[in-house]
Amino acid sequence: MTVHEPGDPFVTLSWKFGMEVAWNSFYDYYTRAGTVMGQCVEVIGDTQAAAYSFEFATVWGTIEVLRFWSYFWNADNTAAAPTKLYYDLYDRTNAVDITLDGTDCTNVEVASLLGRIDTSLAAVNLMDSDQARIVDGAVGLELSAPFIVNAKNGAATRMRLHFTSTGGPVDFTVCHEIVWRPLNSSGYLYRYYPPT
Amino acid sequence: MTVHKPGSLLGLAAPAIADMVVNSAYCYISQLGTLASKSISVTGTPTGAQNVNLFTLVGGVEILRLYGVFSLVTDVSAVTAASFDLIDGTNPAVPITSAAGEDLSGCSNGSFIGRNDQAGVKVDYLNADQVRIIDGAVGLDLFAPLVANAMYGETNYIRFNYTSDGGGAIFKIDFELIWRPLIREYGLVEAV
Repeated sequence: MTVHEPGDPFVTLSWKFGMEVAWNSFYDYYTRAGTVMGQCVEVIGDTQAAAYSFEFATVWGTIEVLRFWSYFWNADNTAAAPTKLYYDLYDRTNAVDITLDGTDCTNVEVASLLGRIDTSLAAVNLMDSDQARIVDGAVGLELSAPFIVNAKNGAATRMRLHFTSTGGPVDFTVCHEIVWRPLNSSGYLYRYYPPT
Repeated sequence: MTVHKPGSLLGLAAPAIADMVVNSAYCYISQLGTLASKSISVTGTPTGAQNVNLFTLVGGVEILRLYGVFSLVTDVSAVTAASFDLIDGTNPAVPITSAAGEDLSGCSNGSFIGRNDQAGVKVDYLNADQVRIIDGAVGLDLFAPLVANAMYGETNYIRFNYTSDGGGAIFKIDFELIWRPLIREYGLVEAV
């Protein structure tokens, strides 16, 4: 059992995968506010004119994704890509869209923001940081579009970032911040690092 | 680092968002929204359109609630066209509420203004000359949130705007903005 020293738990102790959480314990309550999963996808090199995809997170069990946002941590060269940027889920056999194919993010400024603010039938929303922008929310409505994911049993189900390139050198990094909560005891979303 | 002594931790303010350990208790609780507050005091004879910087914006954040309450009203007879906007110093301002604004010239101490609708609509105004309510619909929060993304490399401001005819103004407004980051290490609202 993890011991919470005075001074520690509120600031530094994070809920970690595998930590046993008693029902209706303090941890159980506050995890319903949503757990953060952060992971980046770095794309550097000379690309062919083609479609590309990168797996960056793995889903277990059943989860509710509350907020799905990402941003360009680095946009040193986005002249050739990413065009047609979108997200989906892939269970090694089937693919399900998270956002519609796709948004042109070529020539974006660093720190530009991407968000799922509509259903999977809409493209991911781009807020280019070449100027101040807002998404104008309506009264009482959450701005992020949540979704429930039920992973395929017995197969690695992962979130993917897709884009196409018109061909040429690229250098950009998209970092994700996804807020989720479990809907069953095995529900979890965690970072995925592809084999190198 | 702030040390949270036993018995005091619930009363201590949280560390800065960027200093929170991801998925620590503070990180979870901060998703309810972090408070930024700013008071402005006006005394004199402002003339014409006035733009008051309230908060700076860096990166991408979700603004959950934005409102202000008059804590002093001595003379607002010339205060009209009150609104909020976002400006990056290079491009035209982005309205947060209708730029046409609300006439506050008859407001009383304790009056409320807030963004309770989309950017095309004037600030919601509850004059404290009598009891008033904002009548919420079933199942909906009362405020209209917005996502704001700053222009990179510029100082971006959330402003309170009003017009005064130079006839004199003495008032104070306490503004509060409740926000949460969309990218935890890269999103910040601070009072000017």
